[in-house]
Amino acid sequence: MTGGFDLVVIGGGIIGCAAAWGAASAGGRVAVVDGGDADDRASNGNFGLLWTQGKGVDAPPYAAWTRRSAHLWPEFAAALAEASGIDFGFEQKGGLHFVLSADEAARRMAALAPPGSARDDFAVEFLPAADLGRDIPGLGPEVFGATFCPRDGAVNPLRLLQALRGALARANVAVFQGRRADGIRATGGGFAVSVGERQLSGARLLLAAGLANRELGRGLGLELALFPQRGQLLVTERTPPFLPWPGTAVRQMPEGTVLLGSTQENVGFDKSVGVAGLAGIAQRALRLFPHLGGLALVRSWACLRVMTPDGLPIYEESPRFPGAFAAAAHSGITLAAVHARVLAPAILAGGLPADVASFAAGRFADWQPHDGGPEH
Amino acid sequence: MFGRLSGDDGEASGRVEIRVDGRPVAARAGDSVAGALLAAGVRRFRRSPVTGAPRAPYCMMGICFECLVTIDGQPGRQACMIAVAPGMDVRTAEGDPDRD
Repeated sequence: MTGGFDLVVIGGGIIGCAAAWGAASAGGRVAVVDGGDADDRASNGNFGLLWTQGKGVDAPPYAAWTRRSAHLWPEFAAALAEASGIDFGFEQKGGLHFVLSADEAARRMAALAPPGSARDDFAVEFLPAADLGRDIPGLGPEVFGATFCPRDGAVNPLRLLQALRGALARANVAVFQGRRADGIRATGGGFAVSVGERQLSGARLLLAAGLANRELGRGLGLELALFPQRGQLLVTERTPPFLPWPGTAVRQMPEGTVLLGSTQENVGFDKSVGVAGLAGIAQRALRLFPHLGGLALVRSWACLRVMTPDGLPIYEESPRFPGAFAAAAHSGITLAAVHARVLAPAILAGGLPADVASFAAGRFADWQPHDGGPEH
Repeated sequence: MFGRLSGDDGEASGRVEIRVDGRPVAARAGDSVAGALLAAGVRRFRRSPVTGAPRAPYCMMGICFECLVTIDGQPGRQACMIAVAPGMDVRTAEGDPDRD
């Protein structure tokens, strides 16, 4: 028995690592059980946006949770960069969502910035194409404008994960990579997790294994309404800087490559890419920036979002086995700061923070489990 | 920096002449463009479009896109993935300053 952990985290993606690092930073003894390379890993394929605009328009607690994370991100990013020695390209100087017509702009602004909404630092404003064109060379003639939120931003998602892993190592967090949690059982006052021949014992347990949380949760009396949603992405060769802010479907990385995304497809556990999906992404991107048509595509890939029926996260503590928690969300990057700074210390102290009360698993009690296939 | 293990330039396997930034370069049949250029002493293949820093092949297997050159007028080709052909016209960042 490798014992005495305050918290054992199952899942070494962005959510698991952020929570583990947060718990370790709060003084906890923490272990992380990561899966294998062939597992579905949303953290290895995502777009890297740190995003608030449009989040929680119809769900104020989600808007509040997201904004809390956006507020915490600068401190979290600085501390993580310091702890890991890795620059993960954190920026939070605003983000764009391009629209192609007056209609689209009006609809979006009505939802995101209705009359009377707060003029705080998350206020979304509309920037007409003429204004955008001054800062964005090559903006296509079809672009009507963009909605802009000054609190939005981005990271390099792969480097963020690398930084978290590095910080965990330096914080003496035990990370079992390429290993599965073969069995989990409650021991009365804690949990024992089998990892190969090893037994990890922890006072508390956090399931942060993405889509695998569904299966892991069942063993702990947690019914988690999770299903995969495929996103296909493209990346171009490097090109001179033209886009100073990240956008929802297009962002230019500091190295000059252009990321283009993304599809939202309910096709089950299928990570293949296809011409139809990729062509749709490319066509939309060309309407925004015709000059991208001259660039070679370097790679395409797909990953699986961890989706819930209402698109909001799930945070839950097992009623049957108190001390066992689950966290699942498709916005692990945006929420990384609040997971590290709020969720993890609360779990370490024995409960979920009040902020996440409305994200309980029980809201999907009538949900019929599915894999997000075409019938859904 | 790089040289051929056996000194010849293709007497055995067949010699192919290409042009690199306007000057003739002898290669072996079957060489990748990147291999031929490295053997001919070419160091700078392209420049970073962001910083302008010179770049050269890194992976030599089609992944890193550091070896991009202009081949027969078509920019952005992967030199490591394309075999030399007689008379091929190759332009590096040095020879093709517009392509940055």
